[in-house]
Amino acid sequence: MDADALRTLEKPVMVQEMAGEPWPATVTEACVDVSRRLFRSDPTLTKPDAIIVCQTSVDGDVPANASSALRLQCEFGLTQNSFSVGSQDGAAFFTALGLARDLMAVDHQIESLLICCAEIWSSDDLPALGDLVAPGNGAVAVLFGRSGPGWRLRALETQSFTGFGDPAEEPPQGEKLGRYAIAVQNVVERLLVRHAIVREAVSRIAGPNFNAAVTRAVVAGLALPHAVACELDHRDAGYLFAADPALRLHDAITAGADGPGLLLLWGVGLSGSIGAALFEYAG
Amino acid sequence: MTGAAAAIAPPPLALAGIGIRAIGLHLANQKRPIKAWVDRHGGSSERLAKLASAGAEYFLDGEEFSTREMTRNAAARALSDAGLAPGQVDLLIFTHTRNEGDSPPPASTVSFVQNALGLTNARCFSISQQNCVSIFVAIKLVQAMMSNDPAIANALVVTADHVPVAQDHLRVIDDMTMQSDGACALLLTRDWPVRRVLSVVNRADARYYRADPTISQPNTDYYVSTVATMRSAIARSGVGRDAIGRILPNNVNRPNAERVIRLMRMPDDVLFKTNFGEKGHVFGADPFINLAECPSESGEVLLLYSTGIAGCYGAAVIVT
Repeated sequence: MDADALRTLEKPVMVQEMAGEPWPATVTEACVDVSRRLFRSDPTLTKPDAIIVCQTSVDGDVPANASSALRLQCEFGLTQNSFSVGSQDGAAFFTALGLARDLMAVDHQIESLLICCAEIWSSDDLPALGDLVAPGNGAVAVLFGRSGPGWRLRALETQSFTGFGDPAEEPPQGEKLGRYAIAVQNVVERLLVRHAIVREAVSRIAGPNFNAAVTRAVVAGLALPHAVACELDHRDAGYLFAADPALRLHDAITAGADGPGLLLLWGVGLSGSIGAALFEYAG
Repeated sequence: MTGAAAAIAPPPLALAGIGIRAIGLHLANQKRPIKAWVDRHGGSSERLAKLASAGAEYFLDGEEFSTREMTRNAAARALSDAGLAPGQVDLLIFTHTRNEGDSPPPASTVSFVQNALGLTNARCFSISQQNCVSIFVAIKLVQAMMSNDPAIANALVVTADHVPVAQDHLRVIDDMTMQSDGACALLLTRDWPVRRVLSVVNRADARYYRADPTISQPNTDYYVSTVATMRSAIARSGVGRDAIGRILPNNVNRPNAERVIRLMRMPDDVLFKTNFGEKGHVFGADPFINLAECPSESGEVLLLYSTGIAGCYGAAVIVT
């Protein structure tokens, strides 16, 4: 199916931890908070017909087995079509995009779909990662639909590579960091070839706030002749794992430049899942 | 929504046909009588009697294997039984009920399994937060992905959960059910002619999202939603209710399941009851363990159903 059916209906909304501002205590609360902000931003929006949550960090309410997806389903009064995508950290958003596209292709009752990404880490989490990334807390909500002005998903590619090992047991560093950059380049090359998109059509690259050495290597390795790397507007937010690509999409869209050219968004899962997507503005 | 709907929308894609080519199980090999658990936690004879009246006899205690090891073993068995090479698997989806069922981040169970089995061409991710119904959601997603991408031929969907020692006191839910440890892997193949999935549906009464333990006992909403979900699966399957030969439940509570069958206006003997006592509630795996173990004839129509904590419901119609 052509990815044409999926486009953002509204600019994504994000929240992040900031000194002096109240911050939700759980991922579930963060999802509700950011989703309410999104729908308050445009009262003409109608509720989504489906919800996909992307999260890596774990809600700690063990007996209740808290579910962000069910909480959002309750928020919007849905009886079906909610679930969470996990196990891919920084690549989960791309899998969610693909699932959104596929669900809307087979179910025309789904007119719009909310992807809500959130992470809240405790100080005990992620001890093995050392200086690789600076984990951040944040939430981003993006509403997709079949039509309307917005950023159209032109092409999408996801791939899971073997051989990256367990990042908790073998912290990614040194040579392994270079493998992430090569894997991203492979996925982007495949994205361009499969969808017959010339390299010159890419005008901007929005990469994650992952690791500066890796992101520089990706941009240099891709050598896209007309592409400019987007500024990281929320660098201080840290690396938001499953929410990071959505945050970069938020930053790229809110930065403007709704003109011609394709926006390349990419993300990395520490275990070897890679995602890349091309968006273009359709007014 | 902003913007008008497209003037001429393309028709929805036809759903790809899928069949369950193989089922791989890894069930905890320590089969203990429920009295062992009651004694372990200083429970009363009244509590033991309540569990027995719920149909519980044994539970599977998985001290020896972690969740991801059970997941790997079940997936390996399904792959072997299917006679497929690891490189022929296009998707690997892990589902779990417990929030902590996946490997602690940044590790992931799917990556562990992908590397252990050499699934070099598989896209790997997990689906959760529909609790014991997440496996039904994963099957729906496989069908949607196959419908949209002709290159996807084979998908491994594995569900696994394991009650850790530190939470063993939570193994029993409100004296209603006894939870067991185990994994179940489904090898789904496009157009596979055996164990064809005629329909798969799920729904949720999300107002119960808090999973309030004071309402863990089934109420009227539970029965209404369970039956509605099962009827929806039958309606979408294209077969009539009378065609259903067996009902494969989750192994949560035998009296409740018997009541569901009565509400479905179906005879009691269609319900496969063996594993309420023999295995206990292996989370999302239950209906598919029953599919692997319930005797059936070729061409028999089976109705699988499951319910999950926090108001989740799933059902599927499968023809053997």
